[in-house]
Amino acid sequence: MAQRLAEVDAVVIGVGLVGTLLARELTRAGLKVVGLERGEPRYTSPDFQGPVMHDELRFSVRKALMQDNVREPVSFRNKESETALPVRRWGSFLPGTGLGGSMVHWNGQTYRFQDTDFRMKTHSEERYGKNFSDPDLQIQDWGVTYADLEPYYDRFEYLLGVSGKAGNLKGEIRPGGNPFENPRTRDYPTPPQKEPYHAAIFRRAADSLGYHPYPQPSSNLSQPYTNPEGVRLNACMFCGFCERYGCEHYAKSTPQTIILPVLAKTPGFTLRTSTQVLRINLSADGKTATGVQYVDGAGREFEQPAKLVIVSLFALNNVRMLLLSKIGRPYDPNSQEGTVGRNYAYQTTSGVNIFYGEDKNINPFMNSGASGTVISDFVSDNFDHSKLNFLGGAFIGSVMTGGRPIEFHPVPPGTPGWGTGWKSAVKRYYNHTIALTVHGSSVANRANRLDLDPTYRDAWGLPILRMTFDFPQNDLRLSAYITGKATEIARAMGGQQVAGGPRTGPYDVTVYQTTHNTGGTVMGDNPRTSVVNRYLQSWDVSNVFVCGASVFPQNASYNPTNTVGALAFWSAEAIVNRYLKHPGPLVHA
Amino acid sequence: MRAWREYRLAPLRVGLTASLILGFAAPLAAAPNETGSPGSGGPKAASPASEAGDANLENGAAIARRGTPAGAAACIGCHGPSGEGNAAAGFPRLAGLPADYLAKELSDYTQGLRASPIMQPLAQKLTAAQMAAVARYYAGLGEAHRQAETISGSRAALTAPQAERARELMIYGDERARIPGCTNCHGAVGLGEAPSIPPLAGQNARYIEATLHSWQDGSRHNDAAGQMASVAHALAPADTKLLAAYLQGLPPPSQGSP
Repeated sequence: MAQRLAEVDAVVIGVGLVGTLLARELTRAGLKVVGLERGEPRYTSPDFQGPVMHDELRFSVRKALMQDNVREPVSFRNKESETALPVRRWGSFLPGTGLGGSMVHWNGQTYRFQDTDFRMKTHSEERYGKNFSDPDLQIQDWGVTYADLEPYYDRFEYLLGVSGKAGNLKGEIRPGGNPFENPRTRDYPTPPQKEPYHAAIFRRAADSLGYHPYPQPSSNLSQPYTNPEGVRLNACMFCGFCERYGCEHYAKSTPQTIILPVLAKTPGFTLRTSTQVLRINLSADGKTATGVQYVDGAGREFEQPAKLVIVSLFALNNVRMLLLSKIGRPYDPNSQEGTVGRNYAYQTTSGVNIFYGEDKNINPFMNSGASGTVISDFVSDNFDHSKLNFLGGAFIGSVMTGGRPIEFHPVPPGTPGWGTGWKSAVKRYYNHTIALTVHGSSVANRANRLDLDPTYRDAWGLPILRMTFDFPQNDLRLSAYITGKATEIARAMGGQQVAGGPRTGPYDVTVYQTTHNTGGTVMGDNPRTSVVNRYLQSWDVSNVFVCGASVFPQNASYNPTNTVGALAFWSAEAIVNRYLKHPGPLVHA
Repeated sequence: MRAWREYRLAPLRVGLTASLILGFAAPLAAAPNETGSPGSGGPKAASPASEAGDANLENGAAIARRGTPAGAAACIGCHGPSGEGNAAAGFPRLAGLPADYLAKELSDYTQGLRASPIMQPLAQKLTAAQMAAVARYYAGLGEAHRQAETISGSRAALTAPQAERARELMIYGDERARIPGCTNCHGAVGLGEAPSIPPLAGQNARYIEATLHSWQDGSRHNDAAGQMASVAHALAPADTKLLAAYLQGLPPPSQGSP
């Protein structure tokens, strides 16, 4: 028998980046907020301290900080005709869990999307005509523009202390930054991180070919910084244990290092960890959320009534939560009815390696998760696609994040796959290889989607999320073209040998690529093709707001986090300044 | 003296082995003709090949013991006969610190990155080669003779809860103060990380306290990452004293790393 608790103003489901931001904004507005986190509480000291934290086997290989997929897996298939099976070992993507969520162990690569991303449909049709790429693509506008979001990007970057160099300051192009970015009101809060040797080699080669290299914007700070919340971060030490690890130095921007100390002192905020939310409860007519139902760590069930529900569980789990709660209509790719689960997208990545002689020491272990140099010449619509056969783009860069002994062992083609030959090649090339990254966008199509699995259930007896995804041909053509450009740059980097190739299908869920899962609760102006409106408010249940990358109609060339944060601030402002004054739909379609 | 060998710990062995793999020649003893100082132990080894003329061990030992013709005073006057420092006066232990670190500090004194009315004029009298030589000498010194009362004195100064607080700071840091544990950079038992991070274990407490204050007031500002200034600003005065006393009581590096 579930115990019914006293009603609160708001429940935040999932206390990661978005949950933390929303909790702060709502408590600041005077609301009583309960944050429900599935995982454990954890803090920089003691939980992220070395040497324990620098345990590659535990954290990189065995994914100690990730969602427990024994109890809560995702099932996967490439296409409709296949039967989805549970992913028993995370590979391609690594969903987080615990206080702070996956921002605890992100790399810190912090880019703003471009206006051409937010208006991808309108812009592409204007420039290239309708039906430019494949007919099954579902490219959509977001319902917001870059200009709408600029002040929120600015606010988010100053909260994190992002280290970078502006390329476009109020319309004026600045040398040393990204000339393709849309105008910024101010420069970054801290200067760029030091450029590693491998990135300098890339920069010179990219310059020589007429491209525009600039330092990757990094949330591993270049110097000590106190943010507008009064929380202090230290400088990054380039330890090379960024992605999949907590930062021991207070140098990576995470909920722990940017806001949680403030929330800890906020009487209106209550944090409950080890709480598994089963569903959002709805009124009899299904139009209002009345609160959430959850099970705590001791297996006791509770009903937490609330006037407002924030869905902030990470993109994949956001979609599942709406489906389990029967909010909105599930998407059916055959009839094209429904919207929840529609427009699932990912990221199209590839790489090129350059192998050097033993006289050139690359020292890959001295890196941060976001140090390095990149070019945006092939991002989004920064180049003319009219003679090409795809839409979208990719950044190219030398952004190696570390040289950890178990995972990092680049070898040239032709090296045996194991044994003495492999070992001597690993030894020969460990400190003499540069690995370039090609980080490409991902369009949505009719077939790729998320829904509930008909067979498999989680440890609480609820259907798990089912993912149906394969790379759209558009993105494979994108990868072929831009990886070709990356190879040209690689050849200009003075190595002995260059090897690499584009992403090819089918999509393999067992091989790590990124955790940039997007879509499924898409934002937009049209309730027939979106789940939430431009303020991330559910079209169906107006006291439910869904925040996270699940609102992206398609994924852009860059990493999602900065845009997730900006949208969270944008949505929070709409909630505080407009919704709370007049509860109800903010947009009438 | 012999007791120190029992504290030879795995991390130090790993550190040494790593240094050897990376190609650093590891001088294991004082120069053959200059032995005589108590406490220098370890197997004898041939002097490593000179890098730049006079940057070799024999010259380093000579500088340490007699100073230089240009008027640099002998190091042993303040830093002790075997580089163990002077706990009462707060002159640091040099024995067993990484050679690159020692040479950098000497150079930083000459550039005003590290203020000291004693060391600045002295360092200015040394050439780069002499700095490298004396740094290698001290890095290679074996277990230094220490006054017995220095160790027992420092241990007696801490109560059990104080030692626990210091140990906690060293290993875990302090969440409220945003201080990472010292061990993250200075090693699991405070033996440092060659070439650039010095050991703290066995360093004398007065010197540690003074150095933390110099990070705090900016008179030492030769840490490019700004890490030590952040730590020094965040450490409460009481914690600074506890930490310094605790570190002095930890077993010092027993073999040098270059």
